[in-house]
Amino acid sequence: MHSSPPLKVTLVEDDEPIRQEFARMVREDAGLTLLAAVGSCAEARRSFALGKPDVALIDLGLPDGDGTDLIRELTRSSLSGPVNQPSVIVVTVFGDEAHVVRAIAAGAHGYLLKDTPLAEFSRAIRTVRDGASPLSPQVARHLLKRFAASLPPAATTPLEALTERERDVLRLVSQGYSGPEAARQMNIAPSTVAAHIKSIYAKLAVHSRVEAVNRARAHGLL
Amino acid sequence: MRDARVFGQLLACATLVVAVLLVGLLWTGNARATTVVGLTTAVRIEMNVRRPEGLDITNGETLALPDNWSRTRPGYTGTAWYVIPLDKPLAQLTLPPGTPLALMVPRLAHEGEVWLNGDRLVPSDGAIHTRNRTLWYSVSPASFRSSGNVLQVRVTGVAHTRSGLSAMSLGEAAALRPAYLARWVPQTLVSQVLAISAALAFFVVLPLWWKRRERVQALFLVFCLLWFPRSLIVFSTATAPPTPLALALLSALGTMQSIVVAELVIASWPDFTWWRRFRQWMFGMAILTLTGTALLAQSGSFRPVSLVAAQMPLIVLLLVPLMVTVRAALLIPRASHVSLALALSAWWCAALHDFAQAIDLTGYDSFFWAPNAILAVLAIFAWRAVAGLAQSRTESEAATRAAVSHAVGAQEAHLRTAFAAETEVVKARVREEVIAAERTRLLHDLHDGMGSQLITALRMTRRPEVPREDVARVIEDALDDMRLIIDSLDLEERDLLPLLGNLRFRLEPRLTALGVALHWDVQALPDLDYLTPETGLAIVRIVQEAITNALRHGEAGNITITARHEGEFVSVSVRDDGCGFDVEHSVAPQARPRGLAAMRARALKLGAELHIESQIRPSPDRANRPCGTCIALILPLRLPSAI
Repeated sequence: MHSSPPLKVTLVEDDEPIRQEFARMVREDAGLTLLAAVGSCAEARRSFALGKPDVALIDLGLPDGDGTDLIRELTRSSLSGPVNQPSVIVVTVFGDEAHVVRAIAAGAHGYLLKDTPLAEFSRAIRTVRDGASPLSPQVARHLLKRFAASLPPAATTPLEALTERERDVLRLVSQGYSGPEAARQMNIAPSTVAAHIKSIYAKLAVHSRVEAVNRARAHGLL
Repeated sequence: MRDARVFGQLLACATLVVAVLLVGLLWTGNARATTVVGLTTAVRIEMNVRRPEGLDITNGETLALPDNWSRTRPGYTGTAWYVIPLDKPLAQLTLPPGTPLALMVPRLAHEGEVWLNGDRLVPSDGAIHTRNRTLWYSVSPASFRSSGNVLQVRVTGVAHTRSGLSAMSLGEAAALRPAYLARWVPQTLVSQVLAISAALAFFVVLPLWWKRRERVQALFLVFCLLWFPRSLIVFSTATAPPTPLALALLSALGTMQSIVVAELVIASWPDFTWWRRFRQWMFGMAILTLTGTALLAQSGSFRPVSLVAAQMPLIVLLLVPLMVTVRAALLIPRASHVSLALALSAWWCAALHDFAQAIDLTGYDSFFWAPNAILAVLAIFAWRAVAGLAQSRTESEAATRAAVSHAVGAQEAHLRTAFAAETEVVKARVREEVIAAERTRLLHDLHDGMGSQLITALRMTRRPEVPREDVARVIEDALDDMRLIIDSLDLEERDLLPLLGNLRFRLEPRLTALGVALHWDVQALPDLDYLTPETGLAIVRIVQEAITNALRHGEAGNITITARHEGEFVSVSVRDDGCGFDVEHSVAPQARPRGLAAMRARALKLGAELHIESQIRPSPDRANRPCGTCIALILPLRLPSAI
């Protein structure tokens, strides 16, 4: 099953017990290798300068800054292209809408609950790495609303706007259907749904950047 | 202000029309009709008799009319008869028999009579005196004889007035009429109109001045006032020739009127820099003129020309205000300026003409022009007095408006500040209330679920015999409940489905781990208008409790969650294929699902119904029915209290 080389993982988590727990779980999994386990933005930056991980698990609330800054730097500084881009997974306690959407807007590819059991841990990481980002109904609902309302249609380019299929995926997921169920209802493969979700995540990141630029323009900053 | 301007334009138009009419009348008057003959030669006989009988033509002197005594008989006071033979002029008239004839005498001395063939003719207006009047006599064709027709005119003259007889016209009454009117209007009518207008204007402007006390209005009142004694003098000397005192008085009044007009002009353009010096000159000159007039009147013997000559320096000085007015009219060609400039120019020309008339430079027929020009000046100053009032009213209205708007603005600013402060207070209070309500709710939520679960977990850890796995389960429950609380906080709309979906999303990994299949059978739901974080939390707690029960007590392999919209209700049901329990008579406490009472209590509080159906397995008497439990939550779309 693990024919490919183990994934390099960097942990950015200020809570010592959780960091150690995660580090233990990474070490215990044969498919993962721990590149670094750090507790602050500064340490994380030094670590990223030394070597980019395949997967970065980042907590949002760090003592010397916001994890979203790290996510932004990590997902945008990558010159090697999307293939070798690190997958960023946000670590949250609740997986709530406010945190998750903020992280996705910054460029995160998925999220992981802090109480994820050992059995789930590596699977969740690999799921995100494979492009199947988790999407909760409430986050889906929020994304539907956000893409519908925030930008005038004339200002939206295909890069920022959702396709009809992506909208369908969001609608079904927001009604509580799982990825495979949604795929069945839409008569498409589950992997296609996963691809749609990944695309939605990417668009949200672009979308939020466009929004930021527009806001800056509106306030005369640009 | 706009009304005043329109009024001014109308007045200017009216003045123009009147001027054109006058010119037209004069012109037509000069154009002699063929049906009219001029009587231009007469025999003058100086006989002091009252009736024409016994006039001896052979004693007379044949001369051409007009006969101006100041030329032909200077210093003569007395009576002279003029005899004009009419046979030759009558022969020139080619009129159908019976045509009404008339005789027009443009000017006679201050007193006189006209006789035809020995009968006295009565002037058409019946007036006794003849001074300064054009005379009109209707002549019946029957008065003429076949031959020897003769017109006899008695003229009683005074040395210091203009005496004599002008050329007369005889002819068809209708043909003569325009010429008569052309003289009568400016010579007679205008003087009367002027007297009446001055009186009217005085009484119109008096209350205005009483109210506003403006200089222009006061000056105008004086201008009108001066007209009363003048009219009195003019109309009182009806039969007798004017006395030297009366003439001197008229002259003095004229001087004062000139000063008032000059002052009116100064009041109209007060910014002119030379006014102070001009005033000194004007008043000095006026005092000199009045003194000279008084001295002349005192001496008793003077020629009228002396009085008029005394006025001349002042009239020349009045060129200054006239020029200022004309300049203003040229610079700002507004109707009011132009009309005043025209009227003042006319007045000045009239004064010149009347002076020329006094020193006999004009023809004997000429009459005073001044009343006509003064009427125009009067009208324009009357308008200015009224317009000034209108303007000042507009200004005062504007000032009132400005004051009111300022006061309103200040009040508005004050109210805004007060309102902003009040709004801040209200906002702060609302914020406090919201925080308090949220605090109460959170405390309640934590107390209800997670808080008691954590306490339970704590107690369990202190009892060594409790397995660690049990403690972990309670803590897991507490975490689940906390996630529900967080999810319900994220609720932004009144759609229940994402909330239920999130519950499923959270529970699914655990269900998968336990080998339980969760079937999601939902349809889009209408909004529940009472769905808030609080009610949402209550609903998902009931559903979660139902699922938890199915997992822990029902030994279920499949759990189906159904959400349906049915009429005025939304039903959410959790059905399992577990062992079931006896809803009514569950004797064994462990067989009875825990939290059933809590679920019912929550549903009741929501205004919803909770239906629990359970089929115990195995059941011999109802073997054909599937076993398991179905817990259905029936939610109304609207709460009765919200309707």
